[in-house]
Amino acid sequence: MRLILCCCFITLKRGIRAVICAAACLFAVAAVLSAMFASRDFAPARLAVICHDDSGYIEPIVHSVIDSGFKGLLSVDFFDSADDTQNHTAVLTLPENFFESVMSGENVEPQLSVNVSSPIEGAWISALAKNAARLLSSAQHVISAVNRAMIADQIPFEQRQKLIFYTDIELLDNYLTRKGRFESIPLSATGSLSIAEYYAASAVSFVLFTLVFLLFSPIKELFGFAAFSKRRKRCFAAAFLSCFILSLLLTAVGVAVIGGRISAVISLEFFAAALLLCAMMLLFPAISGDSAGCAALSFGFCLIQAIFGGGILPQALLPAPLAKASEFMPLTLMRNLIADSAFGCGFDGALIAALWCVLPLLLCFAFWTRKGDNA
Amino acid sequence: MKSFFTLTLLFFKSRLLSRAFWAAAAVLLIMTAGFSLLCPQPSPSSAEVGLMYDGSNAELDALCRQLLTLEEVRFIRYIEEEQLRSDVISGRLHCGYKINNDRKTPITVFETEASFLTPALDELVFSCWFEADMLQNAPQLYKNGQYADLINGAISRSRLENKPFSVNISVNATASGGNYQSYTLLPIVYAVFIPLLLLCCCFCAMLSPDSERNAVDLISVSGGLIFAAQFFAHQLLFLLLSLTCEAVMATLILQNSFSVLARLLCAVILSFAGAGLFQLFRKIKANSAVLLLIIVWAVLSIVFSGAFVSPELFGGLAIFKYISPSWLLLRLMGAVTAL
Repeated sequence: MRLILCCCFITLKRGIRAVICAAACLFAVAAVLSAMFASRDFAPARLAVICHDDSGYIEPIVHSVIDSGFKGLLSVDFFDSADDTQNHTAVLTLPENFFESVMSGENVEPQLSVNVSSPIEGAWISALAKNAARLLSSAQHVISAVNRAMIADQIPFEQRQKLIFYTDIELLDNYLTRKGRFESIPLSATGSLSIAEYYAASAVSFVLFTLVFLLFSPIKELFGFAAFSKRRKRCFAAAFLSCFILSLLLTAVGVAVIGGRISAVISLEFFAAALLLCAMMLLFPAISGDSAGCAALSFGFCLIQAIFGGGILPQALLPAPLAKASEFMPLTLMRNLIADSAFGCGFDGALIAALWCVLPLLLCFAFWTRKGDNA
Repeated sequence: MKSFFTLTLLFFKSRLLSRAFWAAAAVLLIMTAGFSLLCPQPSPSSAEVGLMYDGSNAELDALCRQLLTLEEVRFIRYIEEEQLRSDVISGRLHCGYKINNDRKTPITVFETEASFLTPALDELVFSCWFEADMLQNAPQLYKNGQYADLINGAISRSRLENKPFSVNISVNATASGGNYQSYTLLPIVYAVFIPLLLLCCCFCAMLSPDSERNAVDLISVSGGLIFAAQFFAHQLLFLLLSLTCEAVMATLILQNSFSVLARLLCAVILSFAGAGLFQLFRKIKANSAVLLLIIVWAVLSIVFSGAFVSPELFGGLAIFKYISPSWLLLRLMGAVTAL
């Protein structure tokens, strides 16, 4: 027992530098991801309206339309002339008696000048303007038709005007309350996780698995001591204990940097993730000849799994056979365990995770003790 | 001269017999092929939007057909909702709309976190439904349809006789360039491939056995000649590797927006850089610090390549783009392609 604890202590002391490097990498990853996925407030596009119409109806209608569906996307400023409109994305010029021409069907043409940085934005704004114009034309046809029906019904002029006004208001109200007519169904390739959470878990699991080579030297030296002292089983126990403690530390740091719950450290998934990492920490040094080989192996192994296992493209977007195969990859399991520990999204694959924890450990045990223990 | 070519051939053959080289080449080819296969094919940069509606409604059908022929936005008609959802999730569609017969919530929009154009697209789709609904229900606006025939007839005549409302639009675009360039994930493939190739060269050097180094030391020719021969041999080998990966990408990615010249130039530059790194890392002792440094450099090269996000989003950290070979070579390839 004393030998185990002593070896464990020495390995931990040798390995703490690796933990510090790995923790620094995890913080750097978290900072990069925060910058990439930070929500950005876009300034609304500015529309200048030069209104030569004196009816008094234009401004309230324009504000109502903007508030009904374009709030935050578009801001409107009214001007008397074009002098102060240079900094606006678009300038809408409404001629004299514009409102009256629309109501009478004369349809004097307004002018929309769009100043944008790319032809595509211009095309978008043009499409919306043409669409609005077509909609207004259809509304005019309807109002005109209703007016004819009222004339045929011999409704007096003043009553007709009132009814036309109410019809206008009803149509306008239907248009302005259009947002209530949408049912939004959010879809996601990353399941119950947001894209940021998914890639955070993916990055953490990639960093943790890749950096196992940092423990190559202390593990290999302990292995050498085990062979020399012929206390292989005890040294393996010490190696396992120290790797498990280090992996608990690193997994906790990994979950913490991506904003995981504090209660994550007492969850089964957390321990499973730590055990899986511990298994990799023992496996890679066992099958590598030197630290460069260990680094190449861990990095290449992780990169292939990242590409084919949903680390770079979300798992749901992979071809069906590959998506199925990726469920058996240790990096995918690690990602799912980290995500479940941090964000509570649920984990499905306990059996496969258990196999990936136990089998490498058994393999390493067989490797460490292949010449028998002479205690 | 004869010694130079003899040495070059020897070093070339020596590297071909190296397991580390073949392992690195295999991993690089697998990753290049896999990434190229999994990356979606290029699509037009204007958004593609899915649209489902009931074609039996004549008015709605006519209006939605106008949407389907829009140039500014590509609306694609879908029959199966499952396919529509799947294409939205996969990113093939920016978002999807389903127009149903429920007057209270007639429009269902399928969107993802990346569907930033939905406020504008909502307007286009809603207008179609609203217009169809308005025309269809116009007779109900007066005396519950008592004058339905008169109203419908009046609408038809009004469409023919009256001048429609229109807007005179002028667009002053300050940027030049193609309207609808292909949107492609090809830069991402190169952003990953470039540092990986260089990383493979580093690992090849660090994993070369000491016996090989000892054997080189025993060669009784000038150090400069040995260096030149080694450099040239490895440069040729990495050029072959790079060209093989380019061939794989060319086969799997149907539309490559970079010109052949740009890609060849990239392969040549990478081969020289790889050979240089090989020579450097043969001299360096492969300890944990060095290994960590090169792996971090490779990851930083990918992150700051500009293929995923603009490096300027990282504020002061954007300076790392200058140590990213991906960023440098992508710009070079773009410039050569544009010539």
